[in-house]
Order: sequence, then C-alpha cells, then structure tokens
Amino acid sequence: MSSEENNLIEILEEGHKVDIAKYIDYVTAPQAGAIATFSGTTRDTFEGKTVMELRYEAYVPMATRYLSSICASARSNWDIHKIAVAHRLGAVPVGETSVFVAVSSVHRGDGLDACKFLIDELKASVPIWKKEVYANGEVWKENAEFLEKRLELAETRGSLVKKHVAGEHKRSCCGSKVRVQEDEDHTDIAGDNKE
Amino acid sequence: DINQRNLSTLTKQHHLTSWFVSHRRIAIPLKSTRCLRRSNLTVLWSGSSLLAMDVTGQAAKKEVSKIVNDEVSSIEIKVLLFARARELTGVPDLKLKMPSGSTTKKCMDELVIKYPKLEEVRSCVVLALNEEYTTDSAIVKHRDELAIIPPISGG
Repeated sequence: MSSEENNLIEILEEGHKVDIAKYIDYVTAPQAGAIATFSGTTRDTFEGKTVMELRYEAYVPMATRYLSSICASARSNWDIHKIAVAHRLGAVPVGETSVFVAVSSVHRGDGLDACKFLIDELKASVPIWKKEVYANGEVWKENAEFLEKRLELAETRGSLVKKHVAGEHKRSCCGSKVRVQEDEDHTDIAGDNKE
Repeated sequence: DINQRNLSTLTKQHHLTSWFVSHRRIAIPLKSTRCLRRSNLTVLWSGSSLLAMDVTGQAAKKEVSKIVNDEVSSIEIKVLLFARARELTGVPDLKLKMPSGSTTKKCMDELVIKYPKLEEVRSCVVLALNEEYTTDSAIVKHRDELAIIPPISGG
C-alpha cells in the first residue's frame, strides 16, 4: 500500500476481495461534489469460449511505482481531490471485481475524465498480467493498449525491435497464444474480456 | 579510502604475501571486498579495483589475468520472470553473471541460451531495469534487477 498526498494504491494479495466501499469512503470529502468510479469484473465469455476465471499476477514494486506515477499525471491534467486504485491478484471468478478506481473532485467533468485516464493508463503500462482460464485451456491475455504503447517505445529502441511492430495493426504478438486441447488450428487472440 | 593500513590488514587476513595495488584511488567500503582463491592463486578486489594478488610461478600469471578479467570485471544481476516467461523457464527469478558493461540485450541473449524455451517470447517481451522500462542498449550494473515483461494485461 502507498499513500502519497491523497492517493491510495493497493495491490491485494490472492484471496483478498476488492472492498469498493472502502475506496469510495477514502475518496469521499466534503469539498468533493463528485465521485467517479470504475470497476473491472470478470466476464463469463470471450469469443465464444466460456471463461471460468481470470488469474492475475504482478511485478508488485514496479506496478505500485507506475500507479503512483499515473496518479501524478492525472493530478497534473485534472483538478481532482483524492484517488484510490486497487488491483486484485490471484484467481478472480466470474462476476467479481479485479480492478477498482475511484476519483473524487469538486466537479464531475474532471473526476470522470481522470477516472477514464487512470484505467486506460493502467492497462497500457502497469506490469500486471492475467491468464484467462477456460474449461479446456488457458491463455495469457495481452492488452491492446500496451501493444499500441509499445509502438511508441519501439521508436526509441533499436531497429531490431521495429521489425516486429511495423506493418498492420497488431492484435497480438508472438503468434499463437491459445493452448486449447481440441484446437488444431491456433488462433491469435488479444485484447481483453472486460468492460 | 583503502589506505595502506587497511590493505595490510586485508592482505594478512587473506594470507597474501606479494601484492600489487591498483593505481585507481576510490573510496571503497571494506565490506564490499571480495576474495577469490583458485588453486595457488588468491585475488583480492573491490568493485572494479584490483587490490592485491598472490602469484606463484610464471604459468600462474597467465591464469591471473584471465581470472581477473572474468571475476574482477564480471557483475551479477537478479532476473525476474513473469507470466509466460516464468512458465517457460520454470523459475520466477534467477541470478545472472555477466561481463561488466553488458547491455540488457546481451543479458536477454544469455537468458535465451540458458533457457532456449524463452525464444517463444523473445520478440514479445519488454525489459525493465530496476523497476523502470528500459531499452536494449541500457548497461546493467552489479546487483541490478532486470525484469522480463511479456505483454501486460492488467485491469
């Protein structure tokens, strides 16, 4: 957990559910007329496959660091009061919350925009991974936001990296991802099964 | 400072008889001194400075320069592996010994040699050095933490 200024950032260990009331309570303040929140929950299907659960892991110290940095960016762009961001690790069954963002602000425009920014940036840069588990297989997901951001990163790196990201819009990388027992034809899948 | 008195103490502690002192003068905490013994050779160094060595015989001198190049100028980093990268190697972290001045790319090359299965994600992963995203050309230092980061999927 790290609290800086008015930020509450928590990466919750396996088995710990997201207590959204706690985070809403944290950002609530008399001067804030608006509380904007986002909750990401596990969906039951992805591209026709039945999802049993999502399993999350994280590079915790770096994830916390980047979440702090994203909060600082949000503050520099919008007039907001308090921020709470929580991400759960381990197994998250269908219907349960894995990520929660709450932002309080005087006026709703800033809060809503900052909230969207926070979850978008989290998906683009915070080192957290999820594995989608089906009845007959499992696959590591890849956020489209990260793959797009990598195109920017590639500009500053050597030419060795560029050849992998040039060309048409990439939905995933490293070829086949789905390890499904009956599947003979491998499919490229990416994006996420949330929202 | 490693002064004459400290060095005499060190050489006595490690039973060195003849010694050669690096001309570089830098402040080195004593606890960071390392000692290496190989058959009839003893080499004592700190950081990248050679403090003292005991050599017996001409043939041994060649070995010393090889050992000095290998050991004095080698660094050790911690490597963290996540998600698919961890599944492919079977380990969440490991220690990697590299020549001083190695790039992160060279470290990755070495990892793929040690764990050929990593080739599957080689072109996918990004690297982070001490909790910050980094480039292929960044230079790793002793005790750095290098993370192998497959495409992320938080949220």
